[in-house]
Amino acid sequence: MQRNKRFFDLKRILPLLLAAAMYAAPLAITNQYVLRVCVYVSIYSILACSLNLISGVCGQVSMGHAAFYGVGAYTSALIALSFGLPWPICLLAAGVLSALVGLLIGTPALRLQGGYLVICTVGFNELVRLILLNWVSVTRGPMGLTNIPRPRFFGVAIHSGRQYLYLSMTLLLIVYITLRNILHSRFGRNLRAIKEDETAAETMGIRVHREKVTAFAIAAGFAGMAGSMLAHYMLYINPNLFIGDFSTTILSMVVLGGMGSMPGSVAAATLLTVIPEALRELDRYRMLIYGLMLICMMLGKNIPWDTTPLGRAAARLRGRVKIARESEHGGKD
Amino acid sequence: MERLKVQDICKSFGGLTAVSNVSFQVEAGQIVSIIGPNGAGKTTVFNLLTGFYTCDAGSILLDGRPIENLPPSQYVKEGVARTFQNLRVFPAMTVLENVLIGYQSKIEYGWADAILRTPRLREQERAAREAAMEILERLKLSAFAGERCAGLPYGLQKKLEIARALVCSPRLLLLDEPAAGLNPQETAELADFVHGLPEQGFTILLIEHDMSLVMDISNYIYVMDYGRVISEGIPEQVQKDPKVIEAYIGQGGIRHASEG
Ligand SMILES: Nc1ncnc2c1ncn2[C@@H]1O[C@H](COP(=O)(O)OP(=O)(O)O)[C@@H](O)[C@H]1O
Ligand SMILES: [Mg+2]
Repeated sequence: MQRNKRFFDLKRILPLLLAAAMYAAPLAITNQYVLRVCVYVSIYSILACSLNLISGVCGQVSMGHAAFYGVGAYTSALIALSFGLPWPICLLAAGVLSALVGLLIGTPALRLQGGYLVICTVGFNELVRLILLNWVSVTRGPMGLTNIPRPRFFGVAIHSGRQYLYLSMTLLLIVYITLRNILHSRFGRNLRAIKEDETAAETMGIRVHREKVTAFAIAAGFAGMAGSMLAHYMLYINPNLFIGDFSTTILSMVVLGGMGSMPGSVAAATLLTVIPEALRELDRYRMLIYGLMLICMMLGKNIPWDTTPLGRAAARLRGRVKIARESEHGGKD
Repeated sequence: MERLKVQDICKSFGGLTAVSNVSFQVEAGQIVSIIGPNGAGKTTVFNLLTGFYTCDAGSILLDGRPIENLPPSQYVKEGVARTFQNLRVFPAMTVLENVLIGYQSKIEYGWADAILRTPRLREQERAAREAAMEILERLKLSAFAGERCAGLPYGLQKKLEIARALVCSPRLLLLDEPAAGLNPQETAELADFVHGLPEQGFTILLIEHDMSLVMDISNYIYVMDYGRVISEGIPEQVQKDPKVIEAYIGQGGIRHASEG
Protein backbone atom coordinates (compact mmCIF):
# COMPACT_ATOMS: atom_id res chain seq x y z
CA MET A 1 0.00 0.00 0.00
CA GLN A 2 2.85 2.29 0.82
CA ARG A 3 4.21 1.69 -2.66
CA ASN A 4 0.93 2.72 -4.21
CA LYS A 5 0.84 5.92 -2.29
CA ARG A 6 4.35 6.77 -3.29
CA PHE A 7 3.55 6.09 -6.91
CA PHE A 8 0.96 8.84 -6.88
CA ASP A 9 3.23 11.20 -4.99
CA LEU A 10 2.92 14.59 -6.68
CA LYS A 11 6.62 15.23 -6.39
CA ARG A 12 7.35 12.16 -8.50
CA ILE A 13 4.56 12.61 -10.99
CA LEU A 14 5.01 16.30 -11.64
CA PRO A 15 8.34 16.08 -13.52
CA LEU A 16 6.92 13.30 -15.70
CA LEU A 17 3.84 15.38 -16.50
CA LEU A 18 6.07 18.35 -17.27
CA ALA A 19 8.22 16.28 -19.60
CA ALA A 20 5.13 14.87 -21.32
CA ALA A 21 3.72 18.37 -21.78
CA MET A 22 7.08 19.54 -23.07
CA TYR A 23 7.14 16.83 -25.71
CA ALA A 24 3.52 17.36 -26.71
CA ALA A 25 3.83 21.12 -27.07
CA PRO A 26 5.80 21.24 -30.36
CA LEU A 27 2.95 19.35 -32.07
CA ALA A 28 0.75 22.37 -31.42
CA ILE A 29 3.27 24.87 -32.79
CA THR A 30 2.95 25.42 -36.53
CA ASN A 31 4.58 28.79 -36.86
CA GLN A 32 8.15 28.31 -38.15
CA TYR A 33 9.34 31.45 -36.43
CA VAL A 34 8.05 30.30 -33.04
CA LEU A 35 9.70 26.91 -33.53
CA ARG A 36 12.95 28.69 -34.30
CA VAL A 37 12.76 30.76 -31.13
CA CYS A 38 12.05 27.59 -29.16
CA VAL A 39 15.16 25.90 -30.53
CA TYR A 40 17.21 28.87 -29.39
CA VAL A 41 15.55 28.75 -25.99
CA SER A 42 16.67 25.11 -25.66
CA ILE A 43 20.24 25.85 -26.72
CA TYR A 44 20.56 28.90 -24.46
CA SER A 45 19.03 26.96 -21.57
CA ILE A 46 21.82 24.41 -21.92
CA LEU A 47 24.34 27.25 -21.79
CA ALA A 48 22.70 28.87 -18.77
CA CYS A 49 22.30 25.61 -16.83
CA SER A 50 25.91 24.59 -17.43
CA LEU A 51 27.30 28.00 -16.45
CA ASN A 52 25.03 27.88 -13.41
CA LEU A 53 27.02 24.88 -12.14
CA ILE A 54 30.29 26.75 -11.87
CA SER A 55 29.14 30.37 -11.45
CA GLY A 56 25.77 30.01 -9.72
CA VAL A 57 26.28 26.96 -7.53
CA CYS A 58 30.02 27.18 -6.92
CA GLY A 59 30.34 30.97 -7.10
CA GLN A 60 33.25 31.04 -9.59
CA VAL A 61 32.07 33.76 -11.94
CA SER A 62 33.12 33.10 -15.53
CA MET A 63 32.65 35.58 -18.36
CA GLY A 64 34.04 33.25 -20.98
CA HIS A 65 31.33 30.65 -21.40
CA ALA A 66 30.66 31.62 -25.03
CA ALA A 67 34.23 30.61 -25.84
CA PHE A 68 33.49 26.97 -24.97
CA TYR A 69 30.27 27.25 -26.95
CA GLY A 70 32.44 28.36 -29.88
CA VAL A 71 35.06 25.66 -29.41
CA GLY A 72 32.26 23.08 -29.46
CA ALA A 73 30.55 24.58 -32.51
CA TYR A 74 33.78 24.71 -34.54
CA THR A 75 34.95 21.28 -33.41
CA SER A 76 31.68 19.68 -34.36
CA ALA A 77 31.37 21.50 -37.68
CA LEU A 78 34.97 20.81 -38.70
CA ILE A 79 34.74 17.11 -37.87
CA ALA A 80 31.49 16.81 -39.81
CA LEU A 81 32.86 18.77 -42.78
CA SER A 82 36.25 17.06 -43.00
CA PHE A 83 35.43 13.49 -42.04
CA GLY A 84 31.70 13.27 -42.61
CA LEU A 85 31.18 11.59 -39.27
CA PRO A 86 27.60 11.28 -37.93
CA TRP A 87 26.34 14.09 -35.73
CA PRO A 88 26.20 12.18 -32.40
CA ILE A 89 29.93 11.57 -32.71
CA CYS A 90 30.55 15.23 -33.59
CA LEU A 91 28.46 16.21 -30.58
CA LEU A 92 30.47 14.00 -28.24
CA ALA A 93 33.76 15.19 -29.70
CA ALA A 94 32.63 18.80 -29.23
CA GLY A 95 31.75 18.06 -25.60
CA VAL A 96 34.99 16.26 -24.86
CA LEU A 97 37.25 18.82 -26.54
CA SER A 98 35.49 21.76 -24.87
CA ALA A 99 35.78 20.01 -21.51
CA LEU A 100 39.50 19.45 -22.11
CA VAL A 101 39.98 23.12 -22.99
CA GLY A 102 38.02 23.91 -19.82
CA LEU A 103 40.40 21.72 -17.83
CA LEU A 104 43.40 23.42 -19.40
CA ILE A 105 42.15 26.96 -18.73
CA GLY A 106 40.40 26.21 -15.46
CA THR A 107 43.39 24.63 -13.75
CA PRO A 108 45.40 27.86 -13.55
CA ALA A 109 42.46 30.31 -13.75
CA LEU A 110 40.52 28.86 -10.82
CA ARG A 111 43.47 29.57 -8.54
CA LEU A 112 42.40 33.20 -8.91
CA GLN A 113 39.72 34.76 -6.76
CA GLY A 114 36.68 36.86 -7.70
CA GLY A 115 37.49 39.75 -10.01
CA TYR A 116 40.79 38.27 -11.16
CA LEU A 117 39.02 35.14 -12.35
CA VAL A 118 36.47 37.26 -14.23
CA ILE A 119 39.21 39.21 -16.03
CA CYS A 120 41.05 36.01 -16.84
CA THR A 121 37.95 34.42 -18.42
CA VAL A 122 37.20 37.60 -20.38
CA GLY A 123 40.72 37.41 -21.77
CA PHE A 124 40.25 33.75 -22.61
CA ASN A 125 37.05 34.51 -24.52
CA GLU A 126 38.86 37.18 -26.52
CA LEU A 127 41.72 34.80 -27.21
CA VAL A 128 39.36 32.18 -28.61
CA ARG A 129 37.62 34.79 -30.75
CA LEU A 130 40.96 35.93 -32.18
CA ILE A 131 42.02 32.38 -32.94
CA LEU A 132 38.72 31.64 -34.71
CA LEU A 133 39.14 34.88 -36.64
CA ASN A 134 42.78 34.52 -37.63
CA TRP A 135 43.42 30.82 -38.06
CA VAL A 136 42.01 31.18 -41.54
CA SER A 137 43.39 27.93 -42.96
CA VAL A 138 41.21 25.94 -40.54
CA THR A 139 38.35 28.20 -39.48
CA ARG A 140 38.08 30.25 -42.68
CA GLY A 141 38.29 33.35 -40.48
CA PRO A 142 35.55 35.99 -40.68
CA MET A 143 33.84 34.13 -43.53
CA GLY A 144 32.96 31.35 -41.12
CA LEU A 145 32.08 27.75 -41.89
CA THR A 146 29.26 27.07 -44.31
CA ASN A 147 27.36 24.02 -45.52
CA ILE A 148 27.57 22.25 -42.19
CA PRO A 149 25.70 18.95 -42.63
CA ARG A 150 22.36 18.43 -40.90
CA PRO A 151 22.15 15.70 -38.25
CA ARG A 152 20.98 12.42 -39.77
CA PHE A 153 19.26 9.58 -38.02
CA PHE A 154 18.82 6.22 -39.78
CA GLY A 155 19.71 7.82 -43.09
CA VAL A 156 17.16 10.62 -42.76
CA ALA A 157 18.32 14.20 -42.29
CA ILE A 158 16.69 16.35 -39.62
CA HIS A 159 14.89 19.01 -41.60
CA SER A 160 11.89 20.72 -40.13
CA GLY A 161 11.87 23.22 -37.30
CA ARG A 162 9.80 20.81 -35.26
CA GLN A 163 12.34 17.99 -35.64
CA TYR A 164 15.09 20.36 -34.60
CA LEU A 165 13.07 21.40 -31.60
CA TYR A 166 12.67 17.79 -30.51
CA LEU A 167 16.38 17.24 -30.92
CA SER A 168 17.48 20.31 -29.00
CA MET A 169 14.84 19.71 -26.31
CA THR A 170 16.09 16.18 -25.81
CA LEU A 171 19.65 17.42 -25.47
CA LEU A 172 18.47 20.00 -22.94
CA LEU A 173 16.60 17.33 -21.00
CA ILE A 174 19.67 15.08 -20.83
CA VAL A 175 21.92 17.96 -19.75
CA TYR A 176 19.34 19.16 -17.24
CA ILE A 177 18.90 15.77 -15.61
CA THR A 178 22.64 15.16 -15.49
CA LEU A 179 23.30 18.51 -13.84
CA ARG A 180 20.39 18.10 -11.47
CA ASN A 181 21.70 14.70 -10.38
CA ILE A 182 25.13 16.19 -9.81
CA LEU A 183 23.60 18.95 -7.69
CA HIS A 184 21.69 16.41 -5.62
CA SER A 185 24.81 14.39 -4.89
CA ARG A 186 27.75 15.06 -2.62
CA PHE A 187 29.48 16.86 -5.49
CA GLY A 188 26.76 19.47 -5.69
CA ARG A 189 26.80 19.83 -1.93
CA ASN A 190 30.56 20.29 -1.98
CA LEU A 191 30.31 22.96 -4.67
CA ARG A 192 27.79 24.87 -2.60
CA ALA A 193 30.03 24.59 0.45
CA ILE A 194 32.95 25.94 -1.58
CA LYS A 195 30.88 28.96 -2.57
CA GLU A 196 30.06 29.63 1.08
CA ASP A 197 33.44 29.17 2.71
CA GLU A 198 36.47 27.69 0.99
CA THR A 199 38.51 27.40 4.16
CA ALA A 200 35.82 25.47 6.00
CA ALA A 201 35.25 23.27 2.94
CA GLU A 202 38.95 22.47 2.75
CA THR A 203 38.99 21.60 6.46
CA MET A 204 36.15 19.15 5.90
CA GLY A 205 38.32 17.28 3.40
CA ILE A 206 37.01 18.81 0.18
CA ARG A 207 39.75 19.29 -2.39
CA VAL A 208 38.50 22.71 -3.30
CA HIS A 209 40.59 23.43 -6.38
CA ARG A 210 40.00 20.02 -7.88
CA GLU A 211 36.24 20.23 -7.41
CA LYS A 212 36.17 23.69 -8.96
CA VAL A 213 38.17 22.57 -11.99
CA THR A 214 35.98 19.50 -12.46
CA ALA A 215 32.81 21.59 -12.33
CA PHE A 216 34.35 24.08 -14.74
CA ALA A 217 35.26 21.32 -17.21
CA ILE A 218 31.77 19.78 -17.01
CA ALA A 219 30.21 23.19 -17.64
CA ALA A 220 32.57 23.75 -20.57
CA GLY A 221 31.73 20.34 -22.00
CA PHE A 222 27.99 21.00 -22.00
CA ALA A 223 28.53 24.44 -23.52
CA GLY A 224 30.50 22.71 -26.27
CA MET A 225 27.57 20.38 -26.92
CA ALA A 226 25.24 23.38 -27.13
CA GLY A 227 27.67 24.78 -29.71
CA SER A 228 27.46 21.58 -31.72
CA MET A 229 23.66 21.76 -31.69
CA LEU A 230 23.82 25.35 -32.89
CA ALA A 231 26.27 24.60 -35.72
CA HIS A 232 24.20 21.78 -37.14
CA TYR A 233 21.04 23.82 -36.84
CA MET A 234 22.20 27.13 -38.32
CA LEU A 235 24.38 25.21 -40.83
CA TYR A 236 26.61 28.27 -40.79
CA ILE A 237 28.81 29.67 -38.01
CA ASN A 238 31.22 32.57 -37.70
CA PRO A 239 33.40 33.93 -34.88
CA ASN A 240 30.92 36.73 -34.08
CA LEU A 241 28.51 34.25 -32.52
CA PHE A 242 30.97 33.51 -29.73
CA ILE A 243 32.16 36.90 -28.54
CA GLY A 244 32.42 38.13 -24.97
CA ASP A 245 29.13 40.02 -25.23
CA PHE A 246 27.33 36.73 -25.52
CA SER A 247 29.16 35.39 -22.46
CA THR A 248 27.75 38.36 -20.58
CA THR A 249 24.25 37.46 -21.78
CA ILE A 250 24.65 33.86 -20.55
CA LEU A 251 25.92 35.09 -17.21
CA SER A 252 22.98 37.48 -16.87
CA MET A 253 20.68 34.49 -17.41
CA VAL A 254 22.31 32.71 -14.48
CA VAL A 255 22.18 35.80 -12.29
CA LEU A 256 18.59 36.59 -13.21
CA GLY A 257 17.60 32.97 -12.61
CA GLY A 258 18.88 33.28 -9.07
CA MET A 259 22.50 32.03 -8.88
CA GLY A 260 22.33 28.30 -8.30
CA SER A 261 18.77 27.53 -9.34
CA MET A 262 18.40 25.27 -12.37
CA PRO A 263 14.71 26.00 -13.09
CA GLY A 264 15.63 29.65 -12.61
CA SER A 265 18.36 29.39 -15.25
CA VAL A 266 15.94 27.86 -17.74
CA ALA A 267 13.27 30.44 -16.99
CA ALA A 268 15.74 33.30 -17.34
CA ALA A 269 17.18 31.85 -20.57
CA THR A 270 13.63 31.70 -21.93
CA LEU A 271 12.83 35.26 -20.88
CA LEU A 272 16.06 36.71 -22.22
CA THR A 273 15.55 34.94 -25.55
CA VAL A 274 11.84 35.57 -26.04
CA ILE A 275 11.68 39.18 -24.88
CA PRO A 276 14.29 40.56 -27.29
CA GLU A 277 12.47 38.71 -30.08
CA ALA A 278 9.16 40.22 -29.03
CA LEU A 279 10.75 43.65 -29.05
CA ARG A 280 12.05 43.24 -32.57
CA GLU A 281 9.18 45.39 -33.85
CA LEU A 282 10.42 48.32 -31.84
CA ASP A 283 13.79 47.85 -33.46
CA ARG A 284 15.35 51.17 -32.55
CA TYR A 285 14.35 51.06 -28.88
CA ARG A 286 14.91 47.36 -28.46
CA MET A 287 18.26 47.41 -26.69
CA LEU A 288 17.15 50.38 -24.61
CA ILE A 289 14.04 48.59 -23.33
CA TYR A 290 15.99 45.38 -22.87
CA GLY A 291 18.64 47.13 -20.81
CA LEU A 292 16.08 48.94 -18.67
CA MET A 293 14.26 45.68 -18.09
CA LEU A 294 17.42 43.93 -16.94
CA ILE A 295 18.12 46.76 -14.50
CA CYS A 296 14.56 46.62 -13.13
CA MET A 297 14.69 42.85 -12.72
CA MET A 298 17.98 43.03 -10.88
CA LEU A 299 16.73 45.81 -8.62
CA GLY A 300 13.51 43.86 -8.10
CA LYS A 301 15.50 40.91 -6.85
CA ASN A 302 16.86 43.07 -4.04
CA ILE A 303 13.47 44.24 -2.83
CA PRO A 304 12.57 42.35 0.36
CA TRP A 305 9.44 40.87 -1.19
CA ASP A 306 8.60 38.96 1.96
CA THR A 307 7.73 42.21 3.70
CA THR A 308 5.34 43.50 1.03
CA PRO A 309 1.62 42.58 1.25
CA LEU A 310 1.99 40.44 -1.87
CA GLY A 311 4.98 38.62 -0.45
CA ARG A 312 3.23 37.99 2.86
CA ALA A 313 0.22 36.52 1.10
CA ALA A 314 2.51 34.25 -0.90
CA ALA A 315 4.38 33.21 2.24
CA ARG A 316 1.11 32.37 3.97
CA LEU A 317 0.11 30.24 0.99
CA ARG A 318 3.47 28.50 0.96
CA GLY A 319 3.19 27.93 4.69
CA ARG A 320 -0.16 26.23 4.24
CA VAL A 321 1.18 23.99 1.49
CA LYS A 322 4.16 23.09 3.63
CA ILE A 323 2.02 22.20 6.62
CA ALA A 324 -0.26 20.10 4.43
CA ARG A 325 2.75 18.27 3.04
CA GLU A 326 4.23 17.65 6.45
CA SER A 327 1.05 16.16 7.87
CA GLU A 328 0.83 13.91 4.85
CA HIS A 329 4.43 12.91 5.39
CA GLY A 330 3.85 12.33 9.10
CA GLY A 331 1.01 9.98 8.26
CA LYS A 332 3.22 7.90 6.05
CA ASP A 333 6.02 6.95 8.43
CA MET B 1 51.42 5.86 22.91
CA GLU B 2 50.45 9.50 22.57
CA ARG B 3 47.69 10.36 20.15
CA LEU B 4 49.43 13.61 19.21
CA LYS B 5 53.07 14.48 19.67
CA VAL B 6 54.25 17.92 18.64
CA GLN B 7 57.96 18.58 18.73
CA ASP B 8 59.68 21.95 18.45
CA ILE B 9 57.39 23.47 15.86
CA CYS B 10 58.20 27.01 14.76
CA LYS B 11 56.40 29.56 12.65
CA SER B 12 57.26 33.14 11.92
CA PHE B 13 55.55 35.73 9.75
CA GLY B 14 58.19 38.04 8.39
CA GLY B 15 59.94 39.36 11.49
CA LEU B 16 57.26 38.18 13.92
CA THR B 17 57.78 34.82 15.57
CA ALA B 18 54.27 33.57 16.26
CA VAL B 19 55.26 30.08 17.44
CA SER B 20 58.72 29.20 18.58
CA ASN B 21 59.91 25.73 19.55
CA VAL B 22 56.56 24.61 20.87
CA SER B 23 56.31 21.00 22.01
CA PHE B 24 53.38 19.24 23.62
CA GLN B 25 51.50 16.00 23.55
CA VAL B 26 47.98 14.70 23.88
CA GLU B 27 47.16 11.26 25.27
CA ALA B 28 44.32 9.35 23.66
CA GLY B 29 41.01 9.84 25.43
CA GLN B 30 42.03 13.03 27.21
CA ILE B 31 41.10 16.68 27.07
CA VAL B 32 44.22 18.80 26.80
CA SER B 33 43.98 22.58 26.73
CA ILE B 34 46.14 25.38 25.44
CA ILE B 35 45.57 28.67 27.19
CA GLY B 36 47.31 32.01 27.03
CA PRO B 37 46.66 35.68 26.37
CA ASN B 38 45.52 37.03 23.00
CA GLY B 39 48.22 36.83 20.36
CA ALA B 40 50.10 34.12 22.22
CA GLY B 41 50.11 31.93 19.12
CA LYS B 42 47.42 29.39 20.01
CA THR B 43 45.41 29.65 16.81
CA THR B 44 48.65 29.58 14.84
CA VAL B 45 49.40 26.21 16.45
CA PHE B 46 46.01 24.93 15.23
CA ASN B 47 46.74 26.25 11.76
CA LEU B 48 50.04 24.37 11.79
CA LEU B 49 48.25 21.23 12.99
CA THR B 50 45.79 21.40 10.08
CA GLY B 51 48.07 22.45 7.23
CA PHE B 52 46.87 26.03 6.81
CA TYR B 53 50.38 27.19 7.65
CA THR B 54 53.55 25.25 6.92
CA CYS B 55 55.89 24.64 9.83
CA ASP B 56 59.26 26.38 9.55
CA ALA B 57 60.70 23.55 11.65
CA GLY B 58 59.64 20.72 13.92
CA SER B 59 57.47 17.66 13.59
CA ILE B 60 53.88 16.65 14.28
CA LEU B 61 53.03 12.99 14.86
CA LEU B 62 49.51 11.59 14.99
CA ASP B 63 49.62 8.06 16.40
CA GLY B 64 53.24 7.98 15.27
CA ARG B 65 52.55 9.12 11.72
CA PRO B 66 54.06 12.43 10.60
CA ILE B 67 51.29 14.79 9.51
CA GLU B 68 53.02 18.15 9.22
CA ASN B 69 52.69 20.23 6.06
CA LEU B 70 50.03 18.19 4.26
CA PRO B 71 47.40 19.94 2.16
CA PRO B 72 44.59 21.10 4.51
CA SER B 73 42.02 18.86 2.84
CA GLN B 74 44.08 15.80 3.81
CA TYR B 75 43.71 16.16 7.57
CA VAL B 76 40.19 14.81 7.93
CA LYS B 77 41.38 11.58 6.31
CA GLU B 78 44.32 11.50 8.71
CA GLY B 79 41.89 11.85 11.59
CA VAL B 80 42.11 15.51 12.58
CA ALA B 81 39.03 17.74 12.57
CA ARG B 82 38.73 21.29 13.86
CA THR B 83 36.44 24.20 14.57
CA PHE B 84 37.34 27.85 14.09
CA GLN B 85 37.69 30.73 16.52
CA ASN B 86 35.59 32.86 14.17
CA LEU B 87 32.67 30.59 13.41
CA ARG B 88 32.89 29.09 9.94
CA VAL B 89 29.65 27.35 9.12
CA PHE B 90 28.00 27.38 5.68
CA PRO B 91 25.29 29.99 6.32
CA ALA B 92 23.08 29.45 3.26
CA MET B 93 22.98 25.68 3.70
CA THR B 94 20.68 23.87 6.08
CA VAL B 95 21.83 22.52 9.42
CA LEU B 96 21.64 18.97 8.07
CA GLU B 97 23.61 19.86 4.94
CA ASN B 98 26.31 21.46 7.07
CA VAL B 99 26.78 18.20 8.93
CA LEU B 100 26.65 16.21 5.67
CA ILE B 101 29.62 18.25 4.46
CA GLY B 102 31.45 17.07 7.56
CA TYR B 103 30.56 13.49 6.63
CA GLN B 104 31.62 13.85 3.01
CA SER B 105 35.11 12.36 3.40
CA LYS B 106 33.47 9.05 4.34
CA ILE B 107 31.29 8.96 1.23
CA GLU B 108 32.84 6.88 -1.50
CA TYR B 109 30.57 7.01 -4.52
CA GLY B 110 31.93 8.69 -7.64
CA TRP B 111 30.72 10.85 -10.50
CA ALA B 112 29.12 7.99 -12.40
CA ASP B 113 27.05 7.05 -9.34
CA ALA B 114 26.03 10.68 -8.96
CA ILE B 115 24.96 11.18 -12.56
CA LEU B 116 23.09 7.86 -12.80
CA ARG B 117 21.75 7.98 -9.21
CA THR B 118 22.77 4.38 -8.61
CA PRO B 119 21.64 2.29 -5.62
CA ARG B 120 25.17 2.73 -4.27
CA LEU B 121 24.55 6.48 -4.09
CA ARG B 122 21.15 6.08 -2.47
CA GLU B 123 22.53 3.69 0.09
CA GLN B 124 25.46 5.92 1.02
CA GLU B 125 23.36 9.09 1.07
CA ARG B 126 20.93 7.38 3.41
CA ALA B 127 23.75 6.28 5.70
CA ALA B 128 25.17 9.81 5.62
CA ARG B 129 21.83 11.29 6.57
CA GLU B 130 21.43 8.83 9.42
CA ALA B 131 24.87 9.56 10.81
CA ALA B 132 24.27 13.29 10.51
CA MET B 133 20.89 13.10 12.22
CA GLU B 134 22.36 11.04 15.01
CA ILE B 135 24.99 13.70 15.73
CA LEU B 136 22.36 16.44 15.55
CA GLU B 137 20.26 14.45 17.99
CA ARG B 138 23.18 14.19 20.40
CA LEU B 139 23.71 17.96 20.29
CA LYS B 140 19.95 18.62 20.55
CA LEU B 141 19.96 20.25 17.13
CA SER B 142 17.76 17.79 15.27
CA ALA B 143 14.72 20.07 15.49
CA PHE B 144 16.58 22.56 13.29
CA ALA B 145 17.84 20.04 10.72
CA GLY B 146 15.95 21.56 7.79
CA GLU B 147 16.57 25.17 8.71
CA ARG B 148 19.04 27.48 7.11
CA CYS B 149 22.03 27.84 9.34
CA ALA B 150 22.11 31.65 8.96
CA GLY B 151 18.81 31.96 10.83
CA LEU B 152 20.02 30.18 13.96
CA PRO B 153 21.19 31.98 17.10
CA TYR B 154 24.95 32.24 17.48
CA GLY B 155 25.12 29.66 20.25
CA LEU B 156 23.44 27.01 18.11
CA GLN B 157 25.68 27.79 15.16
CA LYS B 158 28.71 27.21 17.38
CA LYS B 159 27.26 23.86 18.42
CA LEU B 160 26.59 23.04 14.79
CA GLU B 161 30.23 23.66 13.96
CA ILE B 162 31.20 21.10 16.61
CA ALA B 163 28.63 18.65 15.21
CA ARG B 164 30.14 19.07 11.76
CA ALA B 165 33.59 18.23 13.11
CA LEU B 166 32.37 15.29 15.21
CA VAL B 167 30.65 13.59 12.29
CA CYS B 168 34.09 13.10 10.71
CA SER B 169 34.82 10.69 13.64
CA PRO B 170 38.20 12.36 14.18
CA ARG B 171 40.90 10.71 16.23
CA LEU B 172 41.82 14.20 17.37
CA LEU B 173 39.35 17.06 17.66
CA LEU B 174 40.68 20.62 17.79
CA LEU B 175 38.32 23.17 19.34
CA ASP B 176 39.34 26.83 19.01
CA GLU B 177 37.57 28.88 21.70
CA PRO B 178 34.23 27.03 21.51
CA ALA B 179 32.77 29.08 24.38
CA ALA B 180 33.59 32.47 22.90
CA GLY B 181 30.37 34.47 22.52
CA LEU B 182 28.24 32.03 24.52
CA ASN B 183 26.23 33.09 27.58
CA PRO B 184 27.01 31.43 30.96
CA GLN B 185 24.26 28.87 30.62
CA GLU B 186 25.32 27.87 27.12
CA THR B 187 28.92 27.71 28.32
CA ALA B 188 27.96 25.35 31.12
CA GLU B 189 26.08 23.12 28.67
CA LEU B 190 29.04 23.14 26.33
CA ALA B 191 31.40 22.22 29.16
CA ASP B 192 29.19 19.25 30.02
CA PHE B 193 29.09 18.14 26.43
CA VAL B 194 32.83 18.43 25.80
CA HIS B 195 33.52 16.75 29.13
CA GLY B 196 31.48 13.76 27.96
CA LEU B 197 33.29 13.36 24.65
CA PRO B 198 36.29 11.28 25.84
CA GLU B 199 33.83 8.64 27.05
CA GLN B 200 32.58 8.37 23.49
CA GLY B 201 36.12 7.78 22.30
CA PHE B 202 37.12 11.29 21.29
CA THR B 203 40.43 12.96 22.08
CA ILE B 204 40.38 16.72 22.40
CA LEU B 205 42.80 19.59 22.12
CA LEU B 206 41.07 22.71 23.34
CA ILE B 207 41.93 26.39 23.10
CA GLU B 208 39.84 28.38 25.50
CA HIS B 209 39.71 31.76 27.14
CA ASP B 210 37.11 30.89 29.78
CA MET B 211 39.42 29.87 32.65
CA SER B 212 36.81 28.14 34.78
CA LEU B 213 35.77 26.00 31.82
CA VAL B 214 39.36 24.98 31.14
CA MET B 215 40.11 24.22 34.78
CA ASP B 216 36.94 22.15 35.13
CA ILE B 217 37.33 19.81 32.18
CA SER B 218 41.02 19.60 31.22
CA ASN B 219 43.24 16.66 32.08
CA TYR B 220 46.33 18.67 31.27
CA ILE B 221 47.07 22.28 30.36
CA TYR B 222 49.76 24.05 28.36
CA VAL B 223 50.15 27.80 28.80
CA MET B 224 51.48 29.86 25.90
CA ASP B 225 52.76 33.41 25.83
CA TYR B 226 54.66 35.19 23.05
CA GLY B 227 54.78 32.02 20.97
CA ARG B 228 56.33 29.84 23.68
CA VAL B 229 55.04 27.31 26.17
CA ILE B 230 55.70 29.03 29.48
CA SER B 231 54.06 26.52 31.77
CA GLU B 232 52.34 23.15 31.77
CA GLY B 233 50.72 20.76 34.16
CA ILE B 234 47.43 19.60 35.61
CA PRO B 235 44.93 22.41 36.28
CA GLU B 236 45.86 22.80 39.97
CA GLN B 237 49.56 23.24 39.17
CA VAL B 238 48.99 25.70 36.35
CA GLN B 239 46.60 27.78 38.39
CA LYS B 240 49.28 28.43 41.00
CA ASP B 241 52.17 29.08 38.63
CA PRO B 242 53.33 32.69 39.10
CA LYS B 243 54.43 32.89 35.43
CA VAL B 244 50.88 32.15 34.33
CA ILE B 245 49.38 34.68 36.68
CA GLU B 246 51.84 37.28 35.44
CA ALA B 247 51.06 36.57 31.78
CA TYR B 248 47.35 36.96 32.43
CA ILE B 249 47.59 40.01 34.66
CA GLY B 250 49.91 41.62 32.15
CA GLN B 251 47.27 41.14 29.52
CA GLY B 252 44.50 42.32 31.82
CA GLY B 253 46.51 45.50 32.37
CA ILE B 254 46.80 46.08 28.65
CA ARG B 255 43.13 45.46 28.17
CA HIS B 256 42.23 48.01 30.82
CA ALA B 257 44.59 50.53 29.32
CA SER B 258 43.13 50.15 25.83
CA GLU B 259 39.59 50.35 27.11
CA GLY B 260 40.30 53.45 29.21
N1 LIG C 1 48.78 34.94 8.68
C1 LIG C 1 49.43 35.74 9.55
N2 LIG C 1 50.23 36.72 9.10
C2 LIG C 1 50.89 37.51 9.97
N3 LIG C 1 50.81 37.39 11.29
C3 LIG C 1 50.03 36.43 11.81
C4 LIG C 1 49.29 35.56 10.97
N4 LIG C 1 48.59 34.69 11.75
C5 LIG C 1 48.88 35.02 13.01
N5 LIG C 1 49.73 36.06 13.05
C6 LIG C 1 50.28 36.67 14.27
O1 LIG C 1 50.74 35.66 15.11
C7 LIG C 1 50.49 36.00 16.47
C8 LIG C 1 49.72 34.89 17.13
O2 LIG C 1 48.39 34.93 16.68
P1 LIG C 1 47.31 33.82 17.08
O3 LIG C 1 47.88 32.49 16.89
O4 LIG C 1 46.06 34.13 16.34
O5 LIG C 1 47.08 34.13 18.62
P2 LIG C 1 46.02 33.55 19.64
O6 LIG C 1 45.14 32.58 18.92
O7 LIG C 1 46.81 32.93 20.72
O8 LIG C 1 45.24 34.73 20.14
C9 LIG C 1 49.76 37.32 16.47
O9 LIG C 1 50.69 38.34 16.74
C10 LIG C 1 49.24 37.43 15.07
O10 LIG C 1 49.15 38.77 14.67
MG1 LIG D 1 43.13 32.60 18.57
